[in-house]
Amino acid sequence: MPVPGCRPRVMGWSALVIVLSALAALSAACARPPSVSFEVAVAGGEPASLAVTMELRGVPRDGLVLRGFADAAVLGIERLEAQGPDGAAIEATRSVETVPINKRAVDIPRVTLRGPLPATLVVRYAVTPGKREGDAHMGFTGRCHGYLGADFGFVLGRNLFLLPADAEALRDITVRFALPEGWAAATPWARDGDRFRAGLDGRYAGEHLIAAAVGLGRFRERSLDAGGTTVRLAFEAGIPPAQEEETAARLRTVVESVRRLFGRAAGSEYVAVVMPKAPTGDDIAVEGWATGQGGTLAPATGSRLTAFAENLIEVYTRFAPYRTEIGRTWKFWTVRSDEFWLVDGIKGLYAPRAVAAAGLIPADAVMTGMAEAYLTSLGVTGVEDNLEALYATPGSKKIEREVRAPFVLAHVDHEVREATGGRESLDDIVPKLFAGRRAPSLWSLLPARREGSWDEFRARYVRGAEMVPVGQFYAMAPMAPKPEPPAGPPVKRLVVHYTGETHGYLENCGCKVNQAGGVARRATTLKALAKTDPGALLLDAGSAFVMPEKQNSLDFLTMQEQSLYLKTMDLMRYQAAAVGLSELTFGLEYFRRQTQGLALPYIVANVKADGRQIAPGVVRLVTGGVRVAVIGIFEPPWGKNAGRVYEDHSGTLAIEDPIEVLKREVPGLKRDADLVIALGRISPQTIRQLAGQVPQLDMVISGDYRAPAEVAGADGHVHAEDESGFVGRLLVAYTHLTNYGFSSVSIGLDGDGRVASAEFTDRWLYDDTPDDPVVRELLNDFYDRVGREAAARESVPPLFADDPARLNGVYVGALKCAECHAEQMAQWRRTAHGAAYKTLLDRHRHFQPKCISCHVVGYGTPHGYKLGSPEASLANVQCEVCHGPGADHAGEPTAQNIRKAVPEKVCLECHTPDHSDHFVYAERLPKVKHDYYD
Amino acid sequence: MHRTLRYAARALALMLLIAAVHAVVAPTLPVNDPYMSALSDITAGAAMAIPINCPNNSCGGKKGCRSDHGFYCTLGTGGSCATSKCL
Repeated sequence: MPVPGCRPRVMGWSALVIVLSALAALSAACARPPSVSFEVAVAGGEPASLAVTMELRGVPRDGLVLRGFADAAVLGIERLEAQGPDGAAIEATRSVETVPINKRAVDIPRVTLRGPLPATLVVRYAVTPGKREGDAHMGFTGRCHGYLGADFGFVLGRNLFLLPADAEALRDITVRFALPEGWAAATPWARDGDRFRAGLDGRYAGEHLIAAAVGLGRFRERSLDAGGTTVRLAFEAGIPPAQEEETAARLRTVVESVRRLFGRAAGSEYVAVVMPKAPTGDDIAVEGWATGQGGTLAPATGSRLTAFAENLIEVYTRFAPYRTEIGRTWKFWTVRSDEFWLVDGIKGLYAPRAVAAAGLIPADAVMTGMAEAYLTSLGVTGVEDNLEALYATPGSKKIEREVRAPFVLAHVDHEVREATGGRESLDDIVPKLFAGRRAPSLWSLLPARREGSWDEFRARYVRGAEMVPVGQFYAMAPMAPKPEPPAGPPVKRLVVHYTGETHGYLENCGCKVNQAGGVARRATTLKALAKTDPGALLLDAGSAFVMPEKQNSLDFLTMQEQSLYLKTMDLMRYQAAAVGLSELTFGLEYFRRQTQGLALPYIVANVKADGRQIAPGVVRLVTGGVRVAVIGIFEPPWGKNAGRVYEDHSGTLAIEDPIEVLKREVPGLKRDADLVIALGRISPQTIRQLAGQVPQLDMVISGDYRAPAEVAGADGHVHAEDESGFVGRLLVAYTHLTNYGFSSVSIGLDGDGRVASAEFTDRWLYDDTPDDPVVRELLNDFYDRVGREAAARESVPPLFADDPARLNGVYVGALKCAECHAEQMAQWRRTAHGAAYKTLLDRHRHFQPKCISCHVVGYGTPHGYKLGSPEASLANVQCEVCHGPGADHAGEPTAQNIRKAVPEKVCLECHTPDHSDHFVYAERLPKVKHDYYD
Repeated sequence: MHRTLRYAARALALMLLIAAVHAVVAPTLPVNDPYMSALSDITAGAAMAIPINCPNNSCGGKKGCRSDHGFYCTLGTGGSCATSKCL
């Protein structure tokens, strides 16, 4: 029974709470975000674009800002206009918001609509998908951002849509497509009549829209069940059926692998939009979110499948709403961030394992590759050793996330297996970790060990007090200096000089600190050595072809340089070269064209195309009475190491297991040869197996030495590279000097022709080695000639590809500038920029288009420096390289028609890590400013 | 008037209480976390057109640089070698 007197008070509090709640609800209703409906139509034109009509309802009266979610170079807003409901134009101002991302300034598009605005309005704009990543000067990476053509299109939400600035609050977003006859849209959104609706149960609408992968065209669909989640695979209809079958099988394996790992569903449906490459030859960039992913996924190569697996894993580990949040437990009212590293660890460890399950990486190569990358990362400056602090400071932390975290987690797996005698592994713990919305601590789920031992583990390896004991668990045994069992005393000697992984490196350009290497120096040293050892063999283990990191096709000039490089190998009288990774990277046709007419025999015994060997398998040589059979072997790279360009061109090749080939061929070769050498790309793991399985093989010369291996005699010390030496009786020589020099081995043979000893010598080709005059002349002739060919000049596009003013402007030269800026001119003359052209003259490169563009003004532009021009007014890195074309300023000097400030990106056009060691803008800028005198 | 003041005081007290509870209970977030919304994550691979300009090599062998994704290698005149990560 209510107590009289108390009732009013209770009523008072209740009423207050009700009133406050009502006010809060009212306030929420008043601040309701706009609802947005898009219509996306394929517009004509060349290149084709997408016309976006965006209708906003519930627009705030005082103004609206729309923003993009990608770099303005990717999301280029064209033909922007805005209208009210009566058709009256509304002023829409386009701008960019510059945000620093990983120490770079990235421009994000913005559109501002100033108030007063009507409650409903329409914004129209167009977007042209397909921005290629990279630029003409630096090269294209082989990726593009979306694509739209006659047969199909693909676009990511972030590369198409603008949203009101407070996009997280949006609840109501729909999209309708107006597509050509026969086309459909493959999207991760739910159908709602003739539209799609973004969002999941009324939430995440903005995120769902922006992170969506949308295929446009004709699609064939198939679906599979992944533990309660239906995975729909939408294949673009132009993908050949056989390729679709193979891709679907591999994707299915990855899906099942990930499902088994987490052991639970993640939403009701997941849509993978499987596109082929764009007709430009580029891979269409893949992005994923909780409800799907898409991009170029067919054919399913190792790198594409790895990206697919990573995106799928992140559905459970990273994306709202199906993720389990790791580490977000409260402790003393703060979020514990010390286990956030597991989010990266799980992805980096299990994505390659899923790809291995699909047969695209050998299972043992996953662990070896991770251990090798971990070892390499230990020598990298600026890496955070403490994984528990990974998210405590800003920055990309790429190495920590992609290398350290997965490997430390792999070591957790190892320790769990050890602790349970192999009965349990991390695979049993992950489903417990990811069962609910919040993950328990990993350490609470691990099997019991000695008291405090997991704490010790954390302190040592997770917090980085010690390195993971790679040598103890993951490294190979060291090479031995002598054969085991020993052979008899040496009675004969054979010298082999060998190179590998030289990548068509003609000579250093003079830009970098390390001046080692070059064919002219190599020829000098080989000639000198031939006087003492005329019978020495000269072999190349492969990858003598140029393989640019950032280009998916080669320009004319690079191909000319490649031909020249092979010609110099002929001049040096190489006796055999193995077909390696770079020889195959740009396709068989290119390899055949380049090697046509060479005296140098290219060999490989285990690679076929259309059922036929692509090159002879064996070369037989006789020197000093020793009969030598050299067999070429190619072991392909795996996963991310393979590279997209190689994967694309090697799809038609049949590569037989090196061990099986050598087991089959070596006994026959040994009948006619005293010594059998396997030459090529053979991994340290395979080499160790060869030692046991092909006992008649005497020697391997390999360009692949990357693997964690103990160092002989260094008591457990481990390197990321294997060293030359002996595995049992097998002599192993690695070409680890790459393009900086070459190595020699003096082999002692016993009375039975067995290898009894080996002495290795590394021959670095520093600038104290003179150039061979014959090769020097060949190089100089080439440099003089090549610049006169239009195709060679066109191979090198101008700098500042994205700056129309610099591309089209009129340059006047430094002498004109000096008429008013004499003091600055005098200072400039004392800088390296003032003598940049002379450095080319000194090295005979003033006709080499690749060098010239960074040593003159405006090379390749209509009004810039011309190769061989007698008029030297634009030679050197003059005023207008930094400040832009000066004709307008010279005609009418004002501060508005010249660029006084020189931002970092101007300098980075030439001061790339390739050409400018340790270039730090903040340190170098003062040295070229006009108040600096050295 | 008196009643209005009383209600106002109660409203203020309630709001202060809510704020205090929130301050105590709400966790202090770390600088970053891995759970960035797709709307905030402009670093997503498909959002940026400019590739990382990286020679992709690291210190290798006894001296010299060798191919290695994500790093760059610089050699000093005395034979020293430093590997740095590309941005």
